Amino acid sequence: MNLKLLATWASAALAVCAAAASPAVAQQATDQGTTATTLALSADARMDSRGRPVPGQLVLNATLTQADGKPLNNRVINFYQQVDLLGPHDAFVGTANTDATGVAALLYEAPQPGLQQLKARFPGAPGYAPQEAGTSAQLKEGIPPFQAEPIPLGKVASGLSVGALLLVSAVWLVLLGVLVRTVTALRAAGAPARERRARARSTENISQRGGAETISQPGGEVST
Amino acid sequence: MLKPEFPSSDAVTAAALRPLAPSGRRFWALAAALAAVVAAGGVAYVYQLFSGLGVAGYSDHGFWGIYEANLVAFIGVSYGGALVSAILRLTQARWRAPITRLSEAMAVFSLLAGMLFAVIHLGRPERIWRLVASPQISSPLVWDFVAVMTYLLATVIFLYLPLIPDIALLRDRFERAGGLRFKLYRALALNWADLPRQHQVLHASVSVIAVIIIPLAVIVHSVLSWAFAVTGRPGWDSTIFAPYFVVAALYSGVATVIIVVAAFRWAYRLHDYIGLKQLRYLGYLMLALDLLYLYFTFTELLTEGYVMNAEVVPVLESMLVGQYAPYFWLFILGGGIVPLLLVCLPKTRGVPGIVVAAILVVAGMWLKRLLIVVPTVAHPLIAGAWGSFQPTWVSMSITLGAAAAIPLLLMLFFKLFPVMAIYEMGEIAEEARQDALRLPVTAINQEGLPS
Repeated sequence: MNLKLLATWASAALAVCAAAASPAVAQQATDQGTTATTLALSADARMDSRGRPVPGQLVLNATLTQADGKPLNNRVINFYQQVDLLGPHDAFVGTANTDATGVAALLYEAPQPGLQQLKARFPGAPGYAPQEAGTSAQLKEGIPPFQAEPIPLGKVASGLSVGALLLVSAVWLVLLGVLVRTVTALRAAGAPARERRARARSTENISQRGGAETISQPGGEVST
Repeated sequence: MLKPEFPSSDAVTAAALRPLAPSGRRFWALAAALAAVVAAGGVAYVYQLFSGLGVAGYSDHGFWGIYEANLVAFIGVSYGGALVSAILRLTQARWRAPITRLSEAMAVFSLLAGMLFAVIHLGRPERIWRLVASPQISSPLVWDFVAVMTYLLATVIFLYLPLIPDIALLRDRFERAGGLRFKLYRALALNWADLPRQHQVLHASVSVIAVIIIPLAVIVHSVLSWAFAVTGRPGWDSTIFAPYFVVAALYSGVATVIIVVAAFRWAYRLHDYIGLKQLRYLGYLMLALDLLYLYFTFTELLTEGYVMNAEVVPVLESMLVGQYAPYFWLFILGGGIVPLLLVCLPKTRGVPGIVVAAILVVAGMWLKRLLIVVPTVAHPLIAGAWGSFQPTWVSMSITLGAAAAIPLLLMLFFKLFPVMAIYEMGEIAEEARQDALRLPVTAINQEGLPS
């Protein structure tokens, strides 16, 4: 059924190919003192509102029943993906509870395309034996990479930064301009007066030195 | 006829240069005490640098605390100082002349102390370089850095330009003595020779800077408020935050100007020049800002409290009736109502009453900044992660050290430069003389201003 659906939508870059359909690797629990359970796992492409598969998304359905086929309600099922990270590991995907029909459903989003090795595990409950089932699905596409939504008023915000930068630059230019202009103008305006003053001071010093020399002449004679 | 409020230029010069005379034991004892507090703050900072911010009371549950409150408080005080001076200059308020120098110097030194807290808050202070090397321009913190640096440049220019004629006076006085001090004055005096052209240039430049510094201070403190407001945290995410911060800065700034002016008035016996008039006018300004700040506080609490968004409730509860309530109501009483009464009531509107009111305002506003920072940080959106911030001896020592640095720097600065604007006071006195003689002031300007 799923393969048929995939074939229908292949031309529209379909996400799911494959063997998701292969229902169920089910196992029987045989421990003494507990009721045997069976677990079946299927991975079906998730359909959008128009009935087209959503790229990279699978719905994992785990069906938990007793040995006699009676569904087990409200039992926790954990889902895993087998990954190869320094050796094969089960990476926890999520958890769901079974409903009245014994089905626990979980939406699985595959980050990478390719073969997805999936597992469902019933950890057991008082009187019920733990159980595990696996399945695999071949995906042509993973989920689309995350794209940040455009920042609201983003253009205004970036324009604001540029405007602020221009404003700050203008203020610095004015401040430094005022300082430089003041320093330059004051120095230039005062330079002749300072020179005159320096000359006067220098003349005064010379005459003072001359006076001192005169006083220091031996015998009190006035020298010229 | 000379009005008594404008004494002779020789008397003004003598009074303004009093701090430059050899200081007595009391001066050096006070300087040594302040230096010791600064040094203790330095030691605490080094300890924090090696031990981590945990020793200052910071944790995952209280990642902003006293340092951020100090940053806002100290920089706010600086804005207040600069704005007072700029506004009084532009409005040609004659009574401003004896106090502008003090408020401009206070603006620079409190800004420097406030800027320190941006670095002190960083566990890895060398990372401040990354603000310059790889800025993220959408971050308000980057713009905060840019704004504060711009404001620092403006305040330094605003302090320096009106000082030039007074520095020239010192240059002439120290010419015979020579030495390093004379060289410093000569370099900074820029050939000032009291010429009409120089007066004209200086007037124009000071006016331009005074005009720029007002919007600049408003913008800069608004940017500082946005570092809080745009985080989306309950208690901070408020549209009123920018004007709220600006008014707070002015309020605490005017109060600090009152304290500084009163302290120097008392220490250097400047009563003849800085009278009750100056302090009372500053007190009135503080009173108006007090009312405005209380109004803003009420408005913010009313809107938040009426809407009662779920995430705001714990912050409001903790501040109004919970853990931080005693501090909040202490601020309302001590930082708002009592200063208001002290300035309002004629009996307490003397110098001591105004100074006490100003001290209460400065302390109350520092507490308020702490109340802005801490309750919000302690109540993050994830309820289970609530925490608190408790100041430790390390953070308190650093805070006191920075606070002590401001008067210390002022004392040392005025050992080098006149404490009052001699040139401006002479100019204003001359204007008053001309007014008294009913001569148009423009006639003086055409002839060149008096020496």
